[in-house]
Amino acid sequence: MSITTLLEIGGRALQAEQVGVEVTSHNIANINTTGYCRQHVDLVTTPSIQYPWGNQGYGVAIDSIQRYFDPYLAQKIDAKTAAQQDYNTQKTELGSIAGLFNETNDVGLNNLLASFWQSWHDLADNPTGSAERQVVVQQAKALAAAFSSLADDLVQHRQALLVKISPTITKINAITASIAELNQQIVSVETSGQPANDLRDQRQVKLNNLASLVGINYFELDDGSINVMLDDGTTLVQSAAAWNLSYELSGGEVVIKCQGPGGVEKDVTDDLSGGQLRALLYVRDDRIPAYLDSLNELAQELIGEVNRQHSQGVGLSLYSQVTGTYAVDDGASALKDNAALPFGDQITEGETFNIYVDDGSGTNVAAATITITAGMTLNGLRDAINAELPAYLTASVVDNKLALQATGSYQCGFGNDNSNVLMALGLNTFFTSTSGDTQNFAFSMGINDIISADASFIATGQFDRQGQHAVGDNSNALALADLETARVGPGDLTFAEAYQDLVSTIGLDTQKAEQQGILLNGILDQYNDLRDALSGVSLDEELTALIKFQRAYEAAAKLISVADELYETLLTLK
Amino acid sequence: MRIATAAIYQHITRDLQSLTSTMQQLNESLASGQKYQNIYQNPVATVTALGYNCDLSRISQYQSNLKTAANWLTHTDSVLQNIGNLIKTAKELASQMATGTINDDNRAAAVSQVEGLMAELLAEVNTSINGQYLFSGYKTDTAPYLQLDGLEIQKVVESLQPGSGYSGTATASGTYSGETATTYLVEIDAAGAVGTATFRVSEDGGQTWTTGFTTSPAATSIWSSEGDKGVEIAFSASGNLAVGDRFIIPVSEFKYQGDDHGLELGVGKNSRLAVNVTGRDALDGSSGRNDLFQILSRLKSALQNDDANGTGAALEALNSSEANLTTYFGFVGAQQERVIYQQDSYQSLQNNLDKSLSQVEDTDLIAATEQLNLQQITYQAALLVSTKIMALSLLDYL
Repeated sequence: MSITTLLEIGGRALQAEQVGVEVTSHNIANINTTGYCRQHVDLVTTPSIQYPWGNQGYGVAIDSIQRYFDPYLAQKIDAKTAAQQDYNTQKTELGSIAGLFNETNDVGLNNLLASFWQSWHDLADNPTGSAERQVVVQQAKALAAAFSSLADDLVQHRQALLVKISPTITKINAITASIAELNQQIVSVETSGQPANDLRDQRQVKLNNLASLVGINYFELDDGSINVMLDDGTTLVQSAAAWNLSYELSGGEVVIKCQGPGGVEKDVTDDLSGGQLRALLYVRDDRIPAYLDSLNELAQELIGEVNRQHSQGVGLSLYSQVTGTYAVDDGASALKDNAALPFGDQITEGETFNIYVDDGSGTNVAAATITITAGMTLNGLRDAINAELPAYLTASVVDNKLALQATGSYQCGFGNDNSNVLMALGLNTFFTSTSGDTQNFAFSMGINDIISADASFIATGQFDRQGQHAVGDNSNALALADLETARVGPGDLTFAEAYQDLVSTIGLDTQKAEQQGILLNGILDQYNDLRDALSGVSLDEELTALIKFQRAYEAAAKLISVADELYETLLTLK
Repeated sequence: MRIATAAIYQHITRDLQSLTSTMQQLNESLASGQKYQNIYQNPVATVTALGYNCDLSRISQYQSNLKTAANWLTHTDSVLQNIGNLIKTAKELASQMATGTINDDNRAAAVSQVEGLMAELLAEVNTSINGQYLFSGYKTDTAPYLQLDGLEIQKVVESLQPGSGYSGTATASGTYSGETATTYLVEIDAAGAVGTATFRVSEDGGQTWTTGFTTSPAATSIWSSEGDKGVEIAFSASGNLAVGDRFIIPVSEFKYQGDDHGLELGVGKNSRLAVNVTGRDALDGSSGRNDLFQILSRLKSALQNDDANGTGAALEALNSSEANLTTYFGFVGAQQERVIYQQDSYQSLQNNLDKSLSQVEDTDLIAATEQLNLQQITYQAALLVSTKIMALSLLDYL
């Protein structure tokens, strides 16, 4: 019990209130800092002094500076951020793919398909019209170009996504490295026993950034450091150590690997959940290939069905010489299911097709029925044709394709093909596609050179029993036009329906991603509101606190001056 | 609840943005007239609209095909009508000549009138539109009938029974020694392969028959009650002939060069419309009776030879030819009615589809404008409130 005690109480109070003002100003200064959690100073009473008359208080002391933070809420925000970023990225990427299929304009595939069938109808109305024939060729070219540019755009988009995946992985690695570093700093700061508030805030921001790129789990150790794992448990950060992700291409698909401790690599591609990285992988290696497959299947069925019907018919002109568009892998291997023939599986052995020979002026001079025997090879077919019509034409195998050369002024045509061998070999066909590569129908779709050079080869009619054909015969053109409504496309739909199915799949995928994204945006907003309610800085509150501490400081200063007066009073005693 | 200062500003930004984005969408749909700008805004509606568009384009194509069909049918109809008038004139002439007392001058005038009718008939049946012959079947580039220098034995017209197994061809040959145009009708009366099957022959469209012929791959002379006039028939051996299989051998100075295919157009899903009649059918050349050219040519020679019986027979034959023509008239008329009916039904289908499409695809202008106004008012209110809130601060009172 002395005046000194009073001075000490006053001095500590001055110090405590000043720290209060400083913490408050730190809060005000960081009002707009991302991830900042408001701090407060914990004041406690100093241990009291025992006197005979009782325990007398000895003033105030600063216990610690704490921040307002809810780790449970932060984990939830990070988890939802991962899911939200996943869907939002999907929406962005799928949305730009959906733009390729935007059929609200007039040059979409849907309209081009309709115009293509219309042109066949117009040709059936006037099979001799050369203008109608040209229109069929032009419409077919436009259709083929649309198919191949769609396929090309999808492939380009896939390429472009790879360009986005690489920087995403770089960012992930940079963030995990900085989390590891922050871990180290926090551990060393907190050995003093006081929380490293600002470093912890920074680390929490990094964790949230990481979650937006890839879905993570994390937990805090007793020393204050945080271990971060991918959702499947693969460790990314362990105390002060971080392990990098890397990617490589395998079979055209992106494989994400984690370079774990001890140089152990782990493929985590399929275990990723949430975050931009997963969305990019999902769109690139799941959705785009699926769309491309559908488009290819549609192109394949269209090429196949049009060629099948076209090869049954005859145009205004007959062939002096004709070469198939599809090559086999080897003239001595079986035609049926030949690996190089895209439509080799369509060949029916035991069935026949007819070759009709004309003298060059419209009079039939010979006809032959060729049977595709079991296991027949291209060489075998060549020999069978040569055996039937030696006087009129010569069959040969050129570059593994079947070629027919009529003798002199003779000309030949085809019909009644129940074996589908003409369509498989590309003889008397309408569309072409790459031989040997069965995955590229949409991209390689084109028109048979013979037809694009001379539209009179478009097969509008058919040979009759006597091998006659008439210019006004529109039966084959009508059969081709009927393909429009025939359920021969993928999935037993019409071609237009199959395409619409693809459009609706893309639309629904995008819509789903968009709606999920909106839902998660809402949830995240709510969580962030909760977080702000606890951790956010309120100016009104801080200003009030500022005044509170200021007044207390003034009061503490008053204590000092009272102590001073007491000393003076004491010293004036004489 | 505690509200952080930054949260107040975040809320204001978020709410204003949500309002602007709604206004932006309304604005786009109003400006473009289309409800949806992207396929993912409403995939179901977009795909429905695509389906409607396909249907519409198909229907407009069917309508255009129907116009072509109507064109063919109108021309065919008018030619058939002219041929009908021509038969009427021939009938009047024949009946005048068959009755009444007529002298050589009258007959000579009648002969030249019949010649005129034949030339007119040839011109009518050879009518072409845009370079396409109406009555040639698929051979639209070839005139259906060609006038020859004299009577010739024409190609055999086959008319096999359904299910007949014959797949060979019958060929007519020989040199005709008769004087008038006629038609030999050969009908199988005992089934079997060539060499076994037997046939009978008629020269009057199947009213009287001469029996006792056997089919053979070699040329076999055929004759009727009127005797042998040098016509021969040979059957190539392939498959079995059935009873009732008919082979018609016209002897005429007019040769049919078309084929027997009816031209058809697509006018609906798997629906075809026949738009022409072949010359052979229209002139009754496929029934085994004499065709109109032969009848006129027989009338002409009957008049030249002053053969009253012949003139009478020609009058009768003209009646049956007219009856045949009437059948095809009816056929063409029925097709024309079908065209009109189809056009009407496609028109109303098109109207319905247009309406459905517009419901799915087009912006409801009134509703959208109302919504936009509402949004504007909400936006203004939000702006007002936001500025008031932002202006508040404890600092102003310290």
